Amino acid sequence: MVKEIRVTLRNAGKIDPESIEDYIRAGGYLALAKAKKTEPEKLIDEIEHAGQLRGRGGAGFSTGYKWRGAYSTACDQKYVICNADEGEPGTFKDRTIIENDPHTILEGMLICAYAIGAREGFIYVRGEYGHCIELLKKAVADAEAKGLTDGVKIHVTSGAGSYVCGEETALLTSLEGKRGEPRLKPPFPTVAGYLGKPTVVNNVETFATVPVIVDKGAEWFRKIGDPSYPGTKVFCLSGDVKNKGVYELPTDATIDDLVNGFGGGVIDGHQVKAIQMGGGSCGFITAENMGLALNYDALRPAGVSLGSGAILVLDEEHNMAEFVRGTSHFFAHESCGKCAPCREGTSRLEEAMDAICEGRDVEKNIGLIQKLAQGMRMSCFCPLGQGAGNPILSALRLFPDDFRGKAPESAKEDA
Amino acid sequence: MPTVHITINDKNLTVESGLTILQAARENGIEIPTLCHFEGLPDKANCRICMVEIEGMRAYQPACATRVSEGMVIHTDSDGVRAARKTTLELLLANHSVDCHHCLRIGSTKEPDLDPRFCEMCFWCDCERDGFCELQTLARAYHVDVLPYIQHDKDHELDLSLGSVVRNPNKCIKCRRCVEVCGEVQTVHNLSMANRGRATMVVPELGKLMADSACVRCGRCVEVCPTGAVFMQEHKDEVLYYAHSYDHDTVVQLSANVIPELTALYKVGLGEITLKKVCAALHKLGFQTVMSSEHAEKLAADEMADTIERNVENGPVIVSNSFAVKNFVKKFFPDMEAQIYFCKGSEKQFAKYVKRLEGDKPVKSVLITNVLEQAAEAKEEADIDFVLNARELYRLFLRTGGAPARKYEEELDKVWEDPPIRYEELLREADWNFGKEPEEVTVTVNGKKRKCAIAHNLGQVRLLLEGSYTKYDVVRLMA
Ligand SMILES: Cc1cc2nc3c(=O)[nH]c(=O)nc-3n(C[C@H](O)[C@H](O)[C@H](O)COP(=O)(O)O)c2cc1C
Ligand code: SF4
Ligand code: SF4
Ligand code: SF4
Ligand code: FES
Repeated sequence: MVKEIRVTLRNAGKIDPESIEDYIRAGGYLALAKAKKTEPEKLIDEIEHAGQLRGRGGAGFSTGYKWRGAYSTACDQKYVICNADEGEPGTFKDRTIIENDPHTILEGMLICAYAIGAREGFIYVRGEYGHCIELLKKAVADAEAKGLTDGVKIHVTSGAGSYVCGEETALLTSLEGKRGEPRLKPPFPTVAGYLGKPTVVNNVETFATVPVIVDKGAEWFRKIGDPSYPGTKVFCLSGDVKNKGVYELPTDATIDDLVNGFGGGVIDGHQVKAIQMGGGSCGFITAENMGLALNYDALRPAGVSLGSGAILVLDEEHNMAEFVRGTSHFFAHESCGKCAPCREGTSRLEEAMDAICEGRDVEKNIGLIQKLAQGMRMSCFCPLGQGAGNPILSALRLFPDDFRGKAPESAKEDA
Repeated sequence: MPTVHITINDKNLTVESGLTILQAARENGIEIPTLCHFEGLPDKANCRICMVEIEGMRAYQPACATRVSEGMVIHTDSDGVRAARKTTLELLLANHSVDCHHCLRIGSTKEPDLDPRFCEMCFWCDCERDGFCELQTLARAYHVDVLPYIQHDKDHELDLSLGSVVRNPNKCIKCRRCVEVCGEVQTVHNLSMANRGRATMVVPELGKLMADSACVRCGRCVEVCPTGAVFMQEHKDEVLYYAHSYDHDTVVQLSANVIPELTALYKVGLGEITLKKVCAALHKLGFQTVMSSEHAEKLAADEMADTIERNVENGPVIVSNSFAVKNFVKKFFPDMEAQIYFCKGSEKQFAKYVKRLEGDKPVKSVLITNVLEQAAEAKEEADIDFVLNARELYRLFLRTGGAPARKYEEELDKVWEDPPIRYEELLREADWNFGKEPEEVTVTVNGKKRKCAIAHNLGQVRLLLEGSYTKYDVVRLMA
């Protein structure tokens, strides 16, 4: 079985997260010093080509490419922003990273700031993560006191408390003090982001990986995991498994490694029915696909992705229609209301799932969901609405009987 | 001019680079439906009606906000695109109080072309926008016959507090045109979005009633709204009552500014509806005296011209006869109120004239104009009984069968032989626009050339009053 490889979480449990001395003793801020001796362009190249670092926030976008965009946009003001909004249901990896090692994130951000030429930055932290906010604030103050920030001002701000604010453009609008809604792309944030200035937005885990790549070298990093998505990924394993928790695995580890190896398998006497891959807004696989590796390319044929890294295991006691009914409530609640298909469609999906689960007009509502999900996928403004129907469709494809077995007693008698 | 090559619906086109797909399509006679897009306002791409298929892209893209690029292959009317639009329309209509479909003869969306002339025999449709609502037009075009969703109560209260600009949130499709026009163009920022998800709605300042809000009653939100969610309060029943009544006389002042919109509403050719035809139709309905508006406009312009001549030597003269500007100044520039010459508008001049007409029968005054702020002014200052705009006039005619295009021209009862107004470029009745910069003109007053500025919207008013007015000899403010 594969071993856990700790890159992002290398210091977890080994240092006191409140102590900058601990972090420095463990080799912290060496990467920053090393980075500053490198030409920005070479540094970005290291991240983009040699390291092939891809974002850990969900979309898997090339981090170096993003940095290059901001670097090559001429502007007197640029910003670096860490996305710690972590709103995806079932995801708590960013919190784990912050709670164990806030300085590695800060170091990653400072490296980015140097690379793109930013003098200011923000860490946008999910409002519920009060402890994380305190830790990050202290980390920033300590780094400033030691002169490590070199004049780069990093602000720690509390999120607006909605899921969509994790989407990068909505995050920016929210930071600007406006309604937390996504905005039109292009222009992309790297060209016109915060206050219209070039801005890099990366996930906590992405930034936490950067110092290691700079420190140990891209060659070293690229040898870990799958070549298409090198390095490690932090997973949040939850649901009906024995050992729930956060695991950092190389990206060539399989789902089986994670669930049965690290997770200790399903709780006694039960079997895997479905695994939701990537978080509450994502699709499912069944046990037969557990041999797939945990990276985007390997998972694509099964119609799922890595998402934020949340892996939720459901045993055979779950009715999948009931489960995705909950998902539909989530989306109806989280739609920001900007665009018509999502604003109106998410609550119609919810109503259709309610009807199905109560055995009303099941076939009609299944048809409606299929039509709605298709329309929303093609028309919605942002991925929230585009993907709102995905978990339902995925469950419907894999477990059609769970939806149709819900005829009310009276209807069964009629038949 | 740099160009790019694109393909729309199998047609190879060479278009200017930098255009949106919507602009490129329209320039080439290809129609793409829109709802939130409004020429002149920034695109927000939130209605998702203009979605088009671009080969190589996973999802459809909004034509209003996507720029053309070299080699783009676009389908604007494929089955998939049409299905997606229809889904969105169904969703919008399911959360919209649809009360425009009452008439069996034209109400069915199965009737492909809605001909307003069918309405002539009709009783009454409830919606103020029936027949010229952009949502309704699309619902018909896409054959939205059945709404496959649970119907919830649409029980938002109508906001009738102003008695002029009325808001009906039950019909709002959250396209935000009104928010943009009130905020970005007029800089009043009264309307804004509240709540999230399904509960999202447009609200006046802090959720207050319109009458208690920052609204300056410019009426621009009414002009841009695609549906019946904001409209001018109608008076058609009362107006008809007085037109028919033997105990009252009615005097109408008819402004030519309603003719273009009336022509568009009737979907007839230019020139088919004239002032004289409208006059004939009004007579037919029982209005006694129909007079043209030039005289009142001339008097209004004269008052401004006199004011300018009297004061131009002592620094910048700021004149306005706009009700909304007055409200705007009170609200945002109270310190400057005393410095601005507020003159009577044509509405007030008409009121003065009507007063003199009072004979044995009481006279009811009806002003027909598309300057919506005059309706608010009439309501609040009570010097005119009724103000009708082109839309209400159209509905009045539909109800009574008064179609002006089919009337023989009749002379107006009163026309004046006035000399042309002075300082025409400066004091003419002019349209509003969306521009940021005030218009600059030069006119000769008291024998000297004077630099003048004209504000065509409240954003421009703000710009001038914030300081740049000092650069001019004369400033005219419109809303
Ligand atoms: C609805 C929605 C919610 C999102 N929430 C988060 C989040 O909580 N944290 C995050 O890092 N990225 C989130 N994202 C992804 C961001 O838009 C963006 O891709 C990411 O922050 C980029 O960082 P990365 O390249 O380092 O992954 C979300 C995206 C969407 C569409
Ligand atoms: S898809 Fe939903 S969350 Fe995204 S912009 Fe539209 S309404 Fe907002
Ligand atoms: S009437 Fe004018 S000020 Fe009032 S809400 Fe409409 S646009 Fe805003
Ligand atoms: S009131 Fe009219 S213009 Fe304003 S958002 Fe609603 S539908 Fe659009
Ligand atoms: S018109 Fe393009 S999205 Fe509304």
